[in-house]
Amino acid sequence: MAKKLKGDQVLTGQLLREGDVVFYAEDGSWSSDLQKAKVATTPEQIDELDLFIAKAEEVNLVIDIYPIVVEKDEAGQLVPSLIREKMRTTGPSIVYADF
Amino acid sequence: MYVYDDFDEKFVRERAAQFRDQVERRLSGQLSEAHFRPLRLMNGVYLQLHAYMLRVAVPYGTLSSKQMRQLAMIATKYDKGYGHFTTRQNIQFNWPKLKDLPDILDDLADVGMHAIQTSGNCIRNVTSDQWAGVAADEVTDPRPYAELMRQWSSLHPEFSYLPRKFKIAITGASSDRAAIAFHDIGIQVLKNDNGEIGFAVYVGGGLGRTPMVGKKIRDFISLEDLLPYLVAILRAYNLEGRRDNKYKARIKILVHETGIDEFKAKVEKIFDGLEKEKLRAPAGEIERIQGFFALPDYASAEANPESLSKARSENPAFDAWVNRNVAEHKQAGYAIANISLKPIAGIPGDATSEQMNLVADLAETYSFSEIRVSHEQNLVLAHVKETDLFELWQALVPAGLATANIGAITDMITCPGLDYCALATARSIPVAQKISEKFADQKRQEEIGDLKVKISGCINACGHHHAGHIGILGLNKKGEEYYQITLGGSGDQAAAVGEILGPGFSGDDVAGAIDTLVNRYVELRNETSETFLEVVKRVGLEPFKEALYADH
Ligand code: HEM
Ligand code: SF4
Repeated sequence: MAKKLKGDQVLTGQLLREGDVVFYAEDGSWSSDLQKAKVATTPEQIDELDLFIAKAEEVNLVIDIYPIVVEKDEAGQLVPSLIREKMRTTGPSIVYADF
Repeated sequence: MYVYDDFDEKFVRERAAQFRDQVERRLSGQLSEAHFRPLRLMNGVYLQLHAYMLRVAVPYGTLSSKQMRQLAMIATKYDKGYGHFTTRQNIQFNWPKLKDLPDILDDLADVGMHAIQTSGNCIRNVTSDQWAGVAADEVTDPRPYAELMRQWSSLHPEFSYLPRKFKIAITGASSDRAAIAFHDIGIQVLKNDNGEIGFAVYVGGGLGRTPMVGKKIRDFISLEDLLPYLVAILRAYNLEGRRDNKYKARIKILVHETGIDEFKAKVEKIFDGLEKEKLRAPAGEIERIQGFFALPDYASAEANPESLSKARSENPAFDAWVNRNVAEHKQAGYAIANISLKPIAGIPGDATSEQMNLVADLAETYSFSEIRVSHEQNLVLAHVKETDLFELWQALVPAGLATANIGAITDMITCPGLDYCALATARSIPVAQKISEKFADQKRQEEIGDLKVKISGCINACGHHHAGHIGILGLNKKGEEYYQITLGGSGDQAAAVGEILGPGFSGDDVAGAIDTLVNRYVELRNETSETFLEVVKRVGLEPFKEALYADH
């Protein structure tokens, strides 16, 4: 890993065929729903996720895989800590395409 | 309009077929992402924040109605029903799927379009004045020379792997609407005392993290030596431009570090040693190209027709639109109609498929089936009869395309920013929307007069903020978006880089800050004709800083 992140982490990437943003889920699939993401909290779990990236990329389903830091909001929902990742998770913040 | 010859046609088809094969191999896993990435970038395919993005070249910003309809079709069939016109006179699709991209490239090839050299360290799409050929202040139409450069630079073997991207802009007018001073090479078409065409050449301009105004390297290069001279500049750059550091790799850094005099000496030395005969365009080629850009057969049309004055006096909204959006044409009885893609509180540069189709139809009816894209992210119908203006406007209104704000404060250049862009540090579009709302009132916009606000979502400066009379740069501080404001930049013939005013503002406070600056300008100006830049030049930044930060 280029730099060590601080905090709970999940893996994200984009679908090779479609480009859609996805998260590595508890059940081993890739989901567009961040709430289904597998969250690594201990250093061991985080290392495990990091090691999984190369293997996941070999499967050739998801590209550009990297870990992001997440937290829980008041409602207990997972939200990315960085604004970039928030935007990436929720989509453009503007009303587009139907003006 | 220029029409591909067999060579172009074949080459674009072949490239689309190659890409189809590459995508198939990528999807089947034969090609890894690492191998595929440079191949997709060579075809204008980026991976953005939420999806792939396709950037399609619109050479020198000229499109036919047929091409525009095809873009609309692509937006509907493969994307979410809209496209984004950019400051490089290109169009970007924000949501194409990789599996569809080969089909999209085929569809583009059907109308003589492609995405080649819209990315990567090569010579990019040559840009030009959106009023080329028809502007009242023009020496001659620059597009034949732009087309010559397009042909020369397409897949140029020596210049396909430059230290960094390379952008060329050309204008034929005295008012620079193509921002030539902020390009790697900027070219101004001139006529000498003998009436011969030649070019003033500027080099080393650019935006990004180190903005620089281009420096003049030649006062006048003859038409036949244009391509050899470009070869000399590019060869000097290719050999000596830095490849060790991406941020220092543009020609502007080389010119800056070498000094323009020494750089010019190097270029001239290479130029003198060239076998120029081999590098010149074949005899007759420029005339052949010019044939395609011949002005349409204008009908004899009445100048300042009675019907126009009548419609203007009866419809204040139409009058405002004519005042703002219609420009003087070379040909008596004709006008240049600018179509704003900056509706109040809209997304600058976006157009829906319906809007694209409508503009294509209107171009067919009123403007010889030709459409222009401006670097300020608007569209232009370049040959409209004055007697048709009212009908045209009436057709634009219901489509949300009749905003009367060309050159006004709500006509902002805005990059995609963090709503789309993987490199962004902050959002640009919502900031533009808030400013647009704040200045929505037509009367107030007219009181303020021409004012260029330009917004980028990171230091790469795709939104030209350095060149804005008021520039806004979105940054990220401790996880929050904040915006730095610059004053005094200019992208025209008086090119200048704006200066930072002081501490930045939160996204919610930017529009208010711009309001404060504009009010201060209105107070400070001696007469309504004194422009924002003239006032900044006369009084300096201090009064503006005071206004902004006095109560902070
Ligand atoms: C969305 C994907 C985009 C990416 C990844 C991107 C990337 C970049 C980068 C890295 C630079 C800095 C180059 C340098 O300083 O060497 C740059 C500059 C620039 N880009 Fe973009 N850009 C994007 C979109 C756009 C759009 C939408 C426009 C037009 C609205 C645009 C027009 C420009 C211009 C005019 C410059 C500054 C001129 C220059 O010095 O090259 N870009 N871009
Ligand atoms: S200026 Fe930055 S945020 Fe805006 S489009 Fe360019 S790279 Fe993206």
